[in-house]
Amino acid sequence: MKLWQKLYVVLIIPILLILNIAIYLLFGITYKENIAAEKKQAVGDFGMIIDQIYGEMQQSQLNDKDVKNIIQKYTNYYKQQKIELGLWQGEKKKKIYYSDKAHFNTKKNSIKNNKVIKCYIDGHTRLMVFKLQKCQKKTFYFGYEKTLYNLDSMWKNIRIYYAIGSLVISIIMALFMIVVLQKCIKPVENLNETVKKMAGGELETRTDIKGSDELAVLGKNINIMAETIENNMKQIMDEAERKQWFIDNLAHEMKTPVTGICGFVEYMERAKISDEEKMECLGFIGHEAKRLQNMSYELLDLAVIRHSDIKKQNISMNKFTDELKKWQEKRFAEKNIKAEWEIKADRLFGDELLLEMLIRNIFENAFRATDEGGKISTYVYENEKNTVFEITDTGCGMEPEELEKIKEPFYRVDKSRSRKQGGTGLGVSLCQKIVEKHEGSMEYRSKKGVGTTVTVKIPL
Amino acid sequence: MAGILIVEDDTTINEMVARNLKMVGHKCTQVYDGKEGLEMIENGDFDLVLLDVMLPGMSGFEIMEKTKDVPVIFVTAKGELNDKLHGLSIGAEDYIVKPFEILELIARINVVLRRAKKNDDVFKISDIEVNLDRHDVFKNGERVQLAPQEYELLEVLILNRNMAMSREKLLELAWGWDYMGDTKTVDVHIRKLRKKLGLEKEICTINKLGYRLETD
Repeated sequence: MKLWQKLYVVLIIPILLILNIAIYLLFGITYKENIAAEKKQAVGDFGMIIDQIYGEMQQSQLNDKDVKNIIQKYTNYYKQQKIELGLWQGEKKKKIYYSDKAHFNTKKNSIKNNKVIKCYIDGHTRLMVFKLQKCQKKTFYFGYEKTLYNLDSMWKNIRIYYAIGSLVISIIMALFMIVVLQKCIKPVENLNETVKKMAGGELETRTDIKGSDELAVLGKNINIMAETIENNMKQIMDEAERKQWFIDNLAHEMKTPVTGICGFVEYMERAKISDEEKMECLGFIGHEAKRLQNMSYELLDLAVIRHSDIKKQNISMNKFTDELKKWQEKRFAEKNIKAEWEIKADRLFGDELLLEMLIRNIFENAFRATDEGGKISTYVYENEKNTVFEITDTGCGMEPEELEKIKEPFYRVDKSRSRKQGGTGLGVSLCQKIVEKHEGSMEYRSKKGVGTTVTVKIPL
Repeated sequence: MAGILIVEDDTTINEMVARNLKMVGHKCTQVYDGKEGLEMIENGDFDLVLLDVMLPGMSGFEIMEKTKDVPVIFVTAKGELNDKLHGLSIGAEDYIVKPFEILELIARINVVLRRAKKNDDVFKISDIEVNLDRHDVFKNGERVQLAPQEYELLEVLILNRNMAMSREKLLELAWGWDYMGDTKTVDVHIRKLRKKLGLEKEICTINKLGYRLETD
């Protein structure tokens, strides 16, 4: 059952009940008041009538005939007013006179002095009062019966009106409540629709419930939630895309050396070739195998760095730079490249091995980009926050578009040249990861044909 | 034998393809750069071009759009359906994805050459002459009668000369996969060919690998 229906049933039944009971009680009270008024009136009237009759009886002989005449006279007179009178004499209440239309018989036993009783006889409401009156030493009982024809017909009508009115009001209430409840519940349906859409994947949908009640607040909160989910989803999808791209690239990068190796192996097996040529083939195989080796090492490094927490400690700047200088000596000699150093810092805080790998990688890239006789200079200094390494080469430099992409894994500016030198395109990626782990930064500035400067900042 | 231009920037792959093709009798020219490749195509006269897609200077697809006459086979690591469709739609004869089996490359090259009628019709070895177009075999000028199966085997040996091939491979290439026989049939037919054509020395048995037709 729907919410508004539940609410409806729970509300409408008590409401209608209460409404009807209230009306009923109200009418009941009014009726009682009416009767009370009539009773009072009756007593008053009766008193007055008795006074008159008594006055006359005082004057008379009080024999049966006279008394009867008197009472008959009054009875006939008050008949028009729908009042019946009755008279009894003596303790035994011997009937003197009352008309056939009166119903004193039925109530004679419950005669109480001066107390009005209400009864319902023969289809009408009647009031009866009795009074004891002594006259000339004789005991008389007077009876008064008023039939409330007007009251009866009035209330008969009222009851009909009440029934109709009650029914009409109930129906109106019922319909009204349906409309009101549905209107109130509508925002909930609205929200429901929206959330359903969101669940179906349309995360851009938003609710627009106006107002400031709880439902509107709920609506706003749902919007905020959707926003958060949308952003998170985007992040996750971006991340997944990046990972997929990485894997695709990796697969691609591996295909080529593998093709080479397998191809040459097959060739060596099948073809009729000389020993000399076999040695040549082995050379090619070895070169490609080395490439795969480099790639696997660098991937391993990347994986390790990505997943492990680094241990930072104070590093001796002298020892650090000495190691690097040693490496430079060996490597740079191959192309006759000059290395320059300017060291104005003594503090370095981080993981020694990783930082060495970082700087070495930068040197390697600089080396590969620089021609015979070029220069690679390193300037190390400190400011309040960081140790800064500035490495400048006189190599071939890069265009702005190329500069943007170098941090992407496997990106190489000059593919064939890089491949010849055993490059995999992962070097800068690796450096970036190391820098991130140290919460530092790495920036590249380059001019085509002039050279490149890499600035690495490692927090102290 | 055909004149083939190999445009591939990876030295190893370039060498590997060149050596294999030379072994089966083609003449190879090697370039490592897109621009150079285009120049070669425009100025030279090649029967077939093996073109890599991802080249420095100019991409293989770009080069393709500028050359219309020469048959081109794309040889590349870009294996997505889109790439294949694109390559074929701009006029390449075939599209091979790395890594590939060299024998497959050789076979596809032969198909393209045959289609473009650029392959040699006649093959000569010792005193045997084979007309690959008409499937005629002559020894010392006199026609030799070969059963269809024998001829098919001979043709495979010729097209893949100097390359050792396993019995299974020979069976597959000569008679197709659904041939209901076993590899012993290959041995039988080889023996027949040797006898009928007097090529005992040329059709060599290579230990553990199979058979090889050797030319100098």
